[in-house]
Amino acid sequence: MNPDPKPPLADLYPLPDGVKIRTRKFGASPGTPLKDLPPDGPQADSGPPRREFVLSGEYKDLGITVRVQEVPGSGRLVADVFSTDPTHLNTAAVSVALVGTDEDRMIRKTIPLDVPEQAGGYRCSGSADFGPLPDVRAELGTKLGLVVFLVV
Amino acid sequence: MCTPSGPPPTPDWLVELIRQHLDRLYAFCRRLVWDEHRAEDLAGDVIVLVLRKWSNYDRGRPFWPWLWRLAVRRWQTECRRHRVGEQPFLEDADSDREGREPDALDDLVRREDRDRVRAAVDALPDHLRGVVLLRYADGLDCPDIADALGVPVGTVYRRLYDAKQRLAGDLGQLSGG
Repeated sequence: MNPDPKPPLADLYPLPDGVKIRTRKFGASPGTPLKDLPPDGPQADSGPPRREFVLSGEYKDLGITVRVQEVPGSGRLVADVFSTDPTHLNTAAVSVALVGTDEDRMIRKTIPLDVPEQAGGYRCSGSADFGPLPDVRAELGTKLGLVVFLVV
Repeated sequence: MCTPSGPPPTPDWLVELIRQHLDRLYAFCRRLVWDEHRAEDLAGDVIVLVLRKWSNYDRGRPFWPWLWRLAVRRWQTECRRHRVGEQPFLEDADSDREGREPDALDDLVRREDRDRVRAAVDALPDHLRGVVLLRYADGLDCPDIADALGVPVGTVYRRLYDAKQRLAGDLGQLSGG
């Protein structure tokens, strides 16, 4: 849109020197279906002990597996991201967004693949803490899904 | 989008469109927030919005305007969430008053020191700085800006007029000092 003439302030707002934009490659897969979060408050206290909440997605076209899990004891949601591509180590990052029913709401983190891996066919991984499950529920609601994309 | 059976697969054409526009999106976000990390966050959030809302996109129309509308609206949302008390970009008293849009700013930029101009622009309130950047750094038309912000085009003209008045005053004071 409006490519010419050059806007008068464009030169005043250039990209700063040295900023590397990791956009040579980009890949995205559909999000996961929304999954019910475990109940909170009195409803949770009255029920039987529950398993920790887990949300996972395998994105074969990207070589990426994402697993978001409630850490036992702490109740925090932690995302672990694994890649089968050895070239992703220290060169790629995976953007993991927790989403709910409201399309405008999300909690998103960019997770660098900076940990070498050997197990399970994976070659590198990364992780990030999304905070306590009640906080996530307060922000996103009672259903949770994943939207993931990869930048290299 | 998200149904119990899962959202539809992301089409290849969409991934390619995003790939083609990533640099431009980042640069756009960089101008909006003027902070490297916030710009990366904003651009990343916008990509997630694209991946969730792409079924709303009319493939018969250009992709970029749809993309920057999402970016502007996301930025407005963030402004509201994190700067309670400041005047949000979207919310403004409606006005049908048509302001003039002189070319004086072009001349001003040529005359004034770049750093001082930028400092003055950066010092504008969000609702004024945003329209100045959208108009003069990104080259968007006033009707497009109005469409993106959800305000009458007269409001955009008025904000530009007010911003220019303010810039002229600030830069005049700087010159005088």
